[in-house]
Amino acid sequence: MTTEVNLLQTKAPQSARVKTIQSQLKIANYIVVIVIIACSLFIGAGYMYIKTSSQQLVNTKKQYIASIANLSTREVLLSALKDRLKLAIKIRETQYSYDKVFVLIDRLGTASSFNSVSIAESGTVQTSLRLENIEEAFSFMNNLTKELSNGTVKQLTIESMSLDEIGRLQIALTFRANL
Amino acid sequence: MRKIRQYFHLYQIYVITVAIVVFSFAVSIFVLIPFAQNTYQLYVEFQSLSKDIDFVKKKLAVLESFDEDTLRSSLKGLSHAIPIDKSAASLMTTIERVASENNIMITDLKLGALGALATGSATPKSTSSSLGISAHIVVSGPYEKYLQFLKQVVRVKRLLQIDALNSSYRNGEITSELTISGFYAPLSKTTNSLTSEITALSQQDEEHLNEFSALPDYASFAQSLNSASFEPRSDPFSP
Repeated sequence: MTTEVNLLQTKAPQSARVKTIQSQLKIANYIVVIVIIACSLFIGAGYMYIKTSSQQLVNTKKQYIASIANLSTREVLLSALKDRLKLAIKIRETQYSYDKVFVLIDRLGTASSFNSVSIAESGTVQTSLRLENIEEAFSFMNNLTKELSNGTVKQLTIESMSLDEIGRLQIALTFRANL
Repeated sequence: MRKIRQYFHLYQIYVITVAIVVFSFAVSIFVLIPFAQNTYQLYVEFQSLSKDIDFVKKKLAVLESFDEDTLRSSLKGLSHAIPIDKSAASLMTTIERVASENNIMITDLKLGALGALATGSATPKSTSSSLGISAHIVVSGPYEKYLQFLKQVVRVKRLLQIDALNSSYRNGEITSELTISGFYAPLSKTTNSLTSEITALSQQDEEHLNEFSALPDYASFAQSLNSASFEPRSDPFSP
């Protein structure tokens, strides 16, 4: 039986404050390790999930694209139809029925009063009319004023006006019709 | 040595803490952050792939909603309005038929700036992606019938437009020189890519299609001479 007694202290004496700090550090260490592991697991799981889902989506997309490729004739037909329809609508909007200009000229005088009508590509109307007497001339001027104030006749220019020996009035006009 | 061991024993917790902090820092910088960035990148790609899938699915649904034969017949009908080539025959036939229906006599008919019929070497006026071919005609007839002719010539299936006219009136008869344009548009030489967007026909498009198909077709015979094939060809050099 040993009779030796170790009177030397194995550890330096620690204050209560140091002990508290050490125990807190211990807890903090655990927390840091757990957080690191949890983060790794979380990111890893997320990565795996997204990777698997992406792969599924890629396969689905391939299937859809294969189906679309099978319907390529339909696609060509549809896009050609839409292009042509767009074009046709545009042309239809620019189509203009010139009978309206003749109707306008009729409104100014009488159908039989005009000698000639020219409509240029710019839309300018040139017409020459023959009015049989002064009453017709007055009526024509009244009608012309009405059309001007309505805005159906624009940029009016009276190119010439002449009276022949039997009292008939010849008028040449240039205007733009806004119908 | 014993002293060092004693110190380590004394400051064990601090050493472990420092080691954990350094290790965590290193793991975060060199492993976790790059891995998280990769995961985020993958997530962004996943999102864009999901959008692509929605888009492709929508496109497939649009294509499946159409009947191929209906599409083909609609396109054929519309190519009577705007042929794929100059189709001078349909232009002349239409003008002649409209004139004869209204008792208007055509005394002269000339086609302007034709170029080589089968090529685009002529330089007619164009409307966006369509091209035009013009005809110069001289007509004569009763005034009322002439007005009907003017009205009807822009209400036929072969889309026509009067560019200019020069009329003279004498004793109830009108003689008129007209420049009439017809339009044509070659088929597109480029095809859509598989992932290019395609939308269904709108209600308005349907209405316009019905409107065009209801227009009188005076050139069906001439159009049938050069009927187009709208099939996609795997071999572009095949006849």
